[in-house]
Amino acid sequence: MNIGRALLLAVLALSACKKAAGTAADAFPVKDTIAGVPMIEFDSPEAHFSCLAPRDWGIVPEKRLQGYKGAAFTLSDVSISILKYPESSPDVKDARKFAESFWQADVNGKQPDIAEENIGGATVLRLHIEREPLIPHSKTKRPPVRHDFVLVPVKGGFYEISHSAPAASYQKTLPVFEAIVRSFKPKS
Amino acid sequence: MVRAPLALVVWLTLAPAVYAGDVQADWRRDGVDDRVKQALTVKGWRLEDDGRALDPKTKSPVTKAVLDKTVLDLRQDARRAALETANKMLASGKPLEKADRDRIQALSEDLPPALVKALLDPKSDLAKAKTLASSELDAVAAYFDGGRSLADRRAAAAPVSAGTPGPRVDLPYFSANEKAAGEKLRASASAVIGRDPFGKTVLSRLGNDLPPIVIEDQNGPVVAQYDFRRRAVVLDRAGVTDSIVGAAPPKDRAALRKSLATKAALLSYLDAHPDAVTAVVKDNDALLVHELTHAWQDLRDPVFREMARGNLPDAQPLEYEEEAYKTKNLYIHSKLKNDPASVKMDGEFSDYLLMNHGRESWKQELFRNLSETSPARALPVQTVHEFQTARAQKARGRAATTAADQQKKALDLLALTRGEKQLAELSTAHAARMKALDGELDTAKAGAYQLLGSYYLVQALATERSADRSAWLDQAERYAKAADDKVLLEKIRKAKEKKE
Repeated sequence: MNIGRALLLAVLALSACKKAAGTAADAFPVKDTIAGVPMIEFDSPEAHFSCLAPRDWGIVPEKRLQGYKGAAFTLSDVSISILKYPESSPDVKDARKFAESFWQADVNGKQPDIAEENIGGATVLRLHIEREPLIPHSKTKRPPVRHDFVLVPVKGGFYEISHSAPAASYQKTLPVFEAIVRSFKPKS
Repeated sequence: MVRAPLALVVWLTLAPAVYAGDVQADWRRDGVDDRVKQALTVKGWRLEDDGRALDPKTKSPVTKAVLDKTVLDLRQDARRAALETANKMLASGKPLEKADRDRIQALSEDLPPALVKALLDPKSDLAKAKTLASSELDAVAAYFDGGRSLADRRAAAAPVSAGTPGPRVDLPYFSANEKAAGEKLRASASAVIGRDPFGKTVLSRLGNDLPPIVIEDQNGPVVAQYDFRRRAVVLDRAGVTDSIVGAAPPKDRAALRKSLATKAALLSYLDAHPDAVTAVVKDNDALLVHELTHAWQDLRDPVFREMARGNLPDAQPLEYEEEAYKTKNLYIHSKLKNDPASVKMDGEFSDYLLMNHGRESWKQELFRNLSETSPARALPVQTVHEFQTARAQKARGRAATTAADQQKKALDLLALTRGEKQLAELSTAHAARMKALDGELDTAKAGAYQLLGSYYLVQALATERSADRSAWLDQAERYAKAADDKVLLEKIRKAKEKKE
């Protein structure tokens, strides 16, 4: 299901209480175009956040991934995902500690550098890694994937916004990720 | 007098066409491209070097007619899966977005060219495309419906009782050599995996009766699979060879690999060298635990059996993969606790580390990669359910004017609606199972730092490469600090002193 369709279903469900919406384009106007990608407003009722989202990308519905609090926007081999902690992992509560734990995900213990940035008055953490895709039971060798992370601390936890794309071409969709990061507004 | 030569000409012309069906198939000649080759071998067919195509049920070479029909069935099945996806996308009547068109492109080899053209053109009339997609799906459905007798339908409509195998291939082995090697691998798997307490649990779920293990040439990306059609674990021949060669002293490896170039040679070597059998199992024990989890799913739930009967779409449910990978990682954790020297620093171990670090993002990445590798089959249960519901709706709408047609329709609906119910039950059961499994993983994670610290220390002390020793001592130290394990930290400090 793509984002436009998912949101349109939500609008139709509310149509008894509201003036009838027009087309999907009217109901969800394009707020911005980033690197040629139309962006619309996206609201996650379950994970309590809003942000811009790429209108034409696929969306992984929250209900399909049990226990998953967030959203994922996908296009071919690119994925931008938003996860809420500690709901996604009960023992992970602190953004800084999580950022400093990435050595645990690497066999040789490589820890990426962590940068701080102020976005909209909040101090967020940035880091990135590059590794081979996770396909343990396959003979296929795929080129490396770059994962960029922005961790947004909130009361009692944090949000992880991540961008995963082939290392050779990640710059093409990184602007979309940055637009999501800059427009991200947690509601909790 | 005139008719005799004419008859002879007719006979000479028509005879090859009439009798082509009796000619032995030669897969090299008879339209078996790489995709079909992969699809056939995954289903247990043997495509011999001399061109014979061996049926997995009879183990005998088939005729051209039989191979042609089998290949046509495969192509129609792939077409049906692709059309069901296309129909689902078009169901809402809303314009297709880029993500949808990318998916259609990935499935284009299995879709009618006219439909692909219509779906990829953003300006095309979607109502016409929807009609075309629906009629193409009806045609494929009619192909499969037409090939089923009343007896087939009665058999498919009968409920699958818990524990019974259903209609599957009885024995996966094609030769005595295969069986001998397979039996040895099976016995060794039982011994190696059973040494670990969690491994014992995995085996007990199967009643300590492991499915047969077969070695085959798995074309495509697969290194191993649980084949529910044959109820067998299939290991890729190349991977088995690598395991045997990897266990040999470095100076002997090139010659050994050369001597194992044929399947016959490999099977004979395994039969004569128990240490090679053990090497294969030890090298692949985590992978085997994953496949044995699928074997357990086959015993526990009716879904695979219904797929084997054609009552459910042939799919690789992502939820089943989630369960198998998590179970495999619990096994690795148990080995870290009970026999850390047996844990290899390989892809399975990396997967365990990634899962421990962030389970949700690990799961998302796993699902994404599985879907990219197998876009038509690696599907969430909800999507399979939607396809099944559409099939049941089509069956309900089928005209049935004769008593025979009405009976066929009733039997089909019985099987299809039972399939819908089973998928709904699987979704509910999976949520509960993952809650329990995640609880086990959370408990395991709590003790993981100390185990990993000890593990890296063991690896550092065992390695001969100073660069690895240094890196792994540092990693051991990081884990020991995270675990606040002062005894372990002291051991690591001493090990570092020795190095320096």
